[in-house]
Amino acid sequence: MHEQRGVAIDIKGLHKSFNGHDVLQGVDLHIEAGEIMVIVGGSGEGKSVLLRHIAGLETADSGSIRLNDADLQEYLRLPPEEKAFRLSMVFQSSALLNSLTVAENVSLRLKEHRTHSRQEVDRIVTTCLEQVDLAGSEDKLPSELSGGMRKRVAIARALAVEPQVILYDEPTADLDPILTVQIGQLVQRIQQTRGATQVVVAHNLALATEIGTHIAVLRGGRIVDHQPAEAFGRSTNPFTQEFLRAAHLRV
Amino acid sequence: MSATNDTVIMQPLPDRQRPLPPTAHAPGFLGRVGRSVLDVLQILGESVFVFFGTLRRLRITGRTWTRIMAQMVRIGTDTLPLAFLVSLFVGMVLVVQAADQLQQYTQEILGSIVGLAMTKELGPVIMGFLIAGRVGSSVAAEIGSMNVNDEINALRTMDIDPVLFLSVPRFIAMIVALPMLVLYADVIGIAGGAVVVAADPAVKISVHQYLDNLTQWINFKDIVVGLVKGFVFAVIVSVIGCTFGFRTKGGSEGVAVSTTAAVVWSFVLIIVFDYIIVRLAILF
Repeated sequence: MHEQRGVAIDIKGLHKSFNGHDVLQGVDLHIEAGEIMVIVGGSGEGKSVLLRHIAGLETADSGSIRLNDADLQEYLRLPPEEKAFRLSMVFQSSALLNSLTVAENVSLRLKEHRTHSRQEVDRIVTTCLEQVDLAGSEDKLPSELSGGMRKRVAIARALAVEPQVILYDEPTADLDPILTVQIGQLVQRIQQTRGATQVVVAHNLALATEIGTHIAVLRGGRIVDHQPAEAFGRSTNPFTQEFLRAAHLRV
Repeated sequence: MSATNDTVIMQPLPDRQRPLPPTAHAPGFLGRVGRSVLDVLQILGESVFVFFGTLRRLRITGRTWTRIMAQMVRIGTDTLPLAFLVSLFVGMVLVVQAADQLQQYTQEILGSIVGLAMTKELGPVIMGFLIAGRVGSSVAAEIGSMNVNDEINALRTMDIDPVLFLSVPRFIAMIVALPMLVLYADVIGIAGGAVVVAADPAVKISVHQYLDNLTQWINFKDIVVGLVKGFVFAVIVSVIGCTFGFRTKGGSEGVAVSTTAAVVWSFVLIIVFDYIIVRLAILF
């Protein structure tokens, strides 16, 4: 049993609209510390917007997000050294800095905040790249990597800060089925080895049921179903059933 | 027209065939002017915000120093060959034009004409335009593409301040490199003029006379005015480049729009501030 190092996330009544279009219309969701929550839903339902709210990249019109009872907005205003826990995000585009090497990308936060010695940073970079099966790629530039490798570097960068929360925005989008399985396994391995709370936004139901401990369905700007992964296939919620039928996964 | 046809015409069209009502959002002439004014004010406001945000974060740490040096190479060193070529020919053209106009009077004032034109006006403005086109555009494109690729959001999630990380090194490098490029352009432009004086048979004075007249007329204040212009243009180019980078939206098309806009805005502001500085310099 791993050490429980994740952070609970509590979302209440989250509303967000862009140019008069209501994207989130009262999202309520509780994510336990250390669980892998997969948020599924159709395109344009606001999954990524919800994730960006948890990352603090968007400000809600109303509602609240609490991380271990700390208000997200207050937590974000704290200086980095006073933050009790760290939050990482893996973007759909990987969002690697193209002018930096793989090692520089992975170590970016550690070097900028000067929290570790150079030797410690090197060791962390090596460990994180080994965890994502990219040992030996330290000096490569992002432009020299495949889409799957870039995604794994982004995950290594997220791991390097020893986060208590990792957010993934469509981590397997544009990846072939083999790479999708590899990324899924990686997410599970992170839960086993690090115990971080992980929130994955995906439209791939097979991946969701494979890696998630819990699955939430976002529809019409609200969470319409929220089930443990093993019970998801038996959900009686009509939207979930529709989703399952569409994915040919109905149990 | 037959009754049958009338009946058909009078029947309400299905929703999807009915012509759309005139939209309440289609702006008229005044609306479009108002929209443009608001856009300009928005961009100026954002530029002021980026400028003061950059000033507030001005500090040189070890990591920032590395980035400043990289930008200095890009802005300064990499621009030297192009600056040489442009300044040389500007100086040469000045002498050829002025010598032709002065043929019936005296060409002995060629040195002061080229010297004053280069140090007070052409050196700073041409270097400002050159850096706006070469570096300002690439700053807007680079930060813009980082923006649309979520790289700036990635920095935010790593508790890295994008303004400190991206804007401050470019700002410092620019305010150091551009005034130095102005001095460089002054020297090369004057040298270009000297080449024409020495080689062109239409010019009836010697290089010695050219330089003598130049040193008589140029004083320290002229050079300082040129350097002040270089400094102000550096602030304009870096702030405008970063502002348009940070406000980029909409993928590669958005990056292209931002890049072009950054160059156009830099050019316009350089000319506007050139006038303001000249007026102030004459007053004092």
